Amino acid sequence: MAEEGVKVVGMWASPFVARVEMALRLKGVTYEYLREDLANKSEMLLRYNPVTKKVPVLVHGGKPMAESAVIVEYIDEVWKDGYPIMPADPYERAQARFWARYADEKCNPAIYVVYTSAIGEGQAKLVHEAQECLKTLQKALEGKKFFGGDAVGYLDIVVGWYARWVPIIEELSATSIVTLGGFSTSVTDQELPMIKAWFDRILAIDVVRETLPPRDKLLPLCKPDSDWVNLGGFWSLVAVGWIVSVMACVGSSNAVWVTAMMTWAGVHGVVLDGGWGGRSRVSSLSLTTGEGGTPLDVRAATLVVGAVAHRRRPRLECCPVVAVARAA
Amino acid sequence: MAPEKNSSDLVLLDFWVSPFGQRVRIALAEKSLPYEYVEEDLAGKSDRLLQSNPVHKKTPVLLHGGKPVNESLIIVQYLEEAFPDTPSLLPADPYARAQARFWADYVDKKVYDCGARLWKLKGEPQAQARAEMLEILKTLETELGDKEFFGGEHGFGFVDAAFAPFTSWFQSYEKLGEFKVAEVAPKIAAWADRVGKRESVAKSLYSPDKVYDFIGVLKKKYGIE
Repeated sequence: MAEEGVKVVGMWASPFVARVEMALRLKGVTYEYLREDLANKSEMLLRYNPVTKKVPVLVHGGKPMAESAVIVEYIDEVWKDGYPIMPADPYERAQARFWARYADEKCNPAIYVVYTSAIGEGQAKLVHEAQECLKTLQKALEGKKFFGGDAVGYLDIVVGWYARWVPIIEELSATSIVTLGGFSTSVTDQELPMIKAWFDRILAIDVVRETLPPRDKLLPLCKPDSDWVNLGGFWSLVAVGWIVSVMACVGSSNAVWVTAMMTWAGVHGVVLDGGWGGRSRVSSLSLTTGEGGTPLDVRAATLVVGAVAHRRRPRLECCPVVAVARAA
Repeated sequence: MAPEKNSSDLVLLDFWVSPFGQRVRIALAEKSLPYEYVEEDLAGKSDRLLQSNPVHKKTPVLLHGGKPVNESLIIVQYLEEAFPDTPSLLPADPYARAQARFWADYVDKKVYDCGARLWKLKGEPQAQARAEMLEILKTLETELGDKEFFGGEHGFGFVDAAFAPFTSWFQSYEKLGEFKVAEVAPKIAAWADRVGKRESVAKSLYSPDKVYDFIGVLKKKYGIE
């Protein structure tokens, strides 16, 4: 009876959707997957989630809910006799929720900034900051196989996607965040063995591997394929609801093109006039975001906006550049 | 079941005007849980605060038998779970709980930051913050609808506790943004009056004038005219 009409509205490359699917599969709940085209959002999605208009949405017995962390707790409560996701002890539950929030608010942006960083000297600081976030997060892992203890738990579900995304980001940005590899060791000489070991363990879990997008599909999506704008990155970030604001030189042909793309993608954005050499002006602007967005940390924005546009053509000064922020 | 900890083991590290700390004070009052209130000087944070919340170094922090719990909404949920025999803020039904968590999270992500942009910024960015604040209030108005409280059938609930502290900031937002909550979101304004009369809220909040003065202090500190 509890299994009646369980639907997940999702998109294959969204780590937040993966959380929901992981939780359902751990509980052994069968569900219908409804694929959403985020560039062309369905009326169904807008009806189910009018407030943030994002995936994932879980629909159970016709009742919709949004926000992946909220959905995972719901799944744990409804199918309470199944696989235990949240810890039993109230204090441990508070810790799990704390770290989940820390990961989403601090680690996610730090990792994405590395992803969009221009290859070169400026990356060292960004990689270091991402590593510091992960080192803080790994306090919740110390001495255990998983964040949940001997078995996968809530926090593993929340951050498990790092195991798939971070190695891809390392490869595309030529950095080492967790694993010293064939990439740029001039950027950092440290790796994070505890996190790396957890990556290996979590990817060995069937449910996790089944729900995370496969590497061979995800890597090409994330690859830049444009001289002007990191198109692959742009679209993958649109897909996971990260793009909220675009800054461009009003009047430049690129601005026109990017604005058209935004409209087509249904991305609500603010086109700010950065002028020529707009990169340097970003730091004095308060980047606001469009509908559903949160104010972007301006310092992070400065690094990102410069980097994305200039990735391929570092001598260019002009726009468009893309400000990346998680849409709230 | 393990015996509940003696609730006199509760210590709240807090800052008087913090809406986040006030949520915890409201929850403790709703549950009639005794606790020791400790006012932190945010300009000179105590060792106890820094050790209890080394990651963010922020208030509120709840210490229960010396063990710290951080983040206001996480603290409130902790109180729900650690003291299950006290009046609850979250309903029993999982779907209603998911809705409550969603809306509390919405308030958490939106209200304070947007409000801060109202007093920190000028010109076009401030106008954008104002537009966003109006949208937030209207969205919350739609969610509240004709209910007495956000908690609906449950009564005063998790979302009410999450949002109530910001009612003492409405007057400041109105002055900075040049709008009236009663015009933009009349049901929210009426709700604000109702919760303001509730004992747990009344004794946790400070007057809107005091909040406005506090914003003046912050503006000076940030060098904003």
